[in-house]
Amino acid sequence: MFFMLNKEEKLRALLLDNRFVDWINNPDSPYAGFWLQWTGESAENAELADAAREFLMELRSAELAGETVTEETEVDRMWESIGGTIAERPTREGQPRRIIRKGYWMAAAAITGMLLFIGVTFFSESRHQLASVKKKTGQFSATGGISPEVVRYNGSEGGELVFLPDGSKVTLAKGTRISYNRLMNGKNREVTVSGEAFFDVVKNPVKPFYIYTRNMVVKVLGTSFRVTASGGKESVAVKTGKVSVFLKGQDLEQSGATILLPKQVCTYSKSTGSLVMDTAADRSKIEMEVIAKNGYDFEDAPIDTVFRTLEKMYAIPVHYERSAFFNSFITISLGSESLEEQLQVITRTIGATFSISNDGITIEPPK
Amino acid sequence: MLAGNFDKEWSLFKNGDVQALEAIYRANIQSLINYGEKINPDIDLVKDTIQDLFIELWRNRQQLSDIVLVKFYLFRALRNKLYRANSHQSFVSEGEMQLSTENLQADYVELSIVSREEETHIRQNLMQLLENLPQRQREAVYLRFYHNMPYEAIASMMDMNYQSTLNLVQRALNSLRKKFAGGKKLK
Repeated sequence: MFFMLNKEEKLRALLLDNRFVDWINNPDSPYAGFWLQWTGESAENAELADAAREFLMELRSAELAGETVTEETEVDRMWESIGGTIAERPTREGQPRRIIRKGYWMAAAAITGMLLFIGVTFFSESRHQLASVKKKTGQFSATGGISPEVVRYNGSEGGELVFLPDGSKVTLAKGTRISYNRLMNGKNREVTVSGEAFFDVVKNPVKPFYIYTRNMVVKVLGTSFRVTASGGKESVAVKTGKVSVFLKGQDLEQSGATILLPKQVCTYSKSTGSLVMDTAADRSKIEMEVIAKNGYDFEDAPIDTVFRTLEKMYAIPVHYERSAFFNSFITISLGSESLEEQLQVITRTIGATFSISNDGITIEPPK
Repeated sequence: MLAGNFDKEWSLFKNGDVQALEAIYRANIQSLINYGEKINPDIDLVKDTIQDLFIELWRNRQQLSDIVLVKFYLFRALRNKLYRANSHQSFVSEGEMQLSTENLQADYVELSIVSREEETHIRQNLMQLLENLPQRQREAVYLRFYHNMPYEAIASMMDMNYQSTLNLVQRALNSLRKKFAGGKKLK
């Protein structure tokens, strides 16, 4: 029956397919292999998948923009009220001690070898801004051009691996949001986090990497670390590697930075508004699935498939004339270098050129 | 999707760990408020209901079973509580209310979309389109495309069978696509 439908009908059928939507929403979807192959089968499939993906991404952006953000103080107030009622009726059982989940540390350590854990508690300010802009104007154009700021949100149940254009990788726990300049072409590399995330940062002394939370700024000196938001505290805990922590509002390069080394914990104290040092990071309540996959490997794959994957990895549209590359196939591993380096390899292989702008990546066929 | 590992935080909470409950609360509170608001725009009622929900969870924790998808469980519990609160207020049964909102709003939405399009001649704003969907379609779209819940889960959550859920989302998609594709025609 499928072949008798017109394109719009086929597209709607795709949008109604649980497996297709899961593939778009969840990079680790078990259906990824199937859909990658399916999109590679014909130009029509690729076009359909393309249009369906675009629609779903716009839908998600619209939903994201429509979310109201509840202030951290309100979230705290609600929890205090819940906690208060719970405490009024003490139960006889003792409060069991928190079990330290060594397994997570080990699993994470096995992947990168170098870790740093950061715990924070609140939802980031950029979310407030996003929401307040929306609330004020009541308007949001989900389609009106690409904003230089990209928000990536993991609405799925498991962890989600996100690739940053500089080659760094972030695993987002469920419900986590990060935002950054889509091309990371500013003076520094800056990411705002709310939720839990594991970072694997590419070293670049010329372009330092900063992570912003509500009260803290973390400057990354080492290579990999993890950011978490859970429980009622804001803290940074280093497993290995090195970071410096500042209070927000402090001049970044001014004295007063706290350098954290492995097994040190730095906690933001609400009462004094300062950073408190401690040792042993094992009390952190981090629980996060670590994604074993570090990238995507292609062997003799249609170039189309590779571009589609890049789009998903970096949340950046790739524009190109499909017919010009209909017969291009490529063997490549994506995910271990910066976006630019990967584009260089790809375009050199297929004899094309590329440019990057706020509208995305444009691939030009050889002249 | 209902297969998988039991949620660890949930198991800890069931064993009396308040911190685990707090972690569950903090991980889901933003989504719960947003979802609740889609069912009942009275934000204070939504927040009160969420607080009650967590208090009840704590008190009944020993009777709770292990679950895989905490968010799904919480969404469903919140939904049930809100509908119960709703029907107390309006003295209309849940079924009647669903029927009326589903059927009556459809014509109105079509009309309002058409007239606005004529007025503005600009591409329809998806967000506006979403807000104009009948409430149950709106809810199903939100769960399916934003929270990536499969139809099986949505069906069980919204007390419908699989086919009706699919139909509900299909109707929503049809009206969304009609307006969206207007600006971007497929060749």
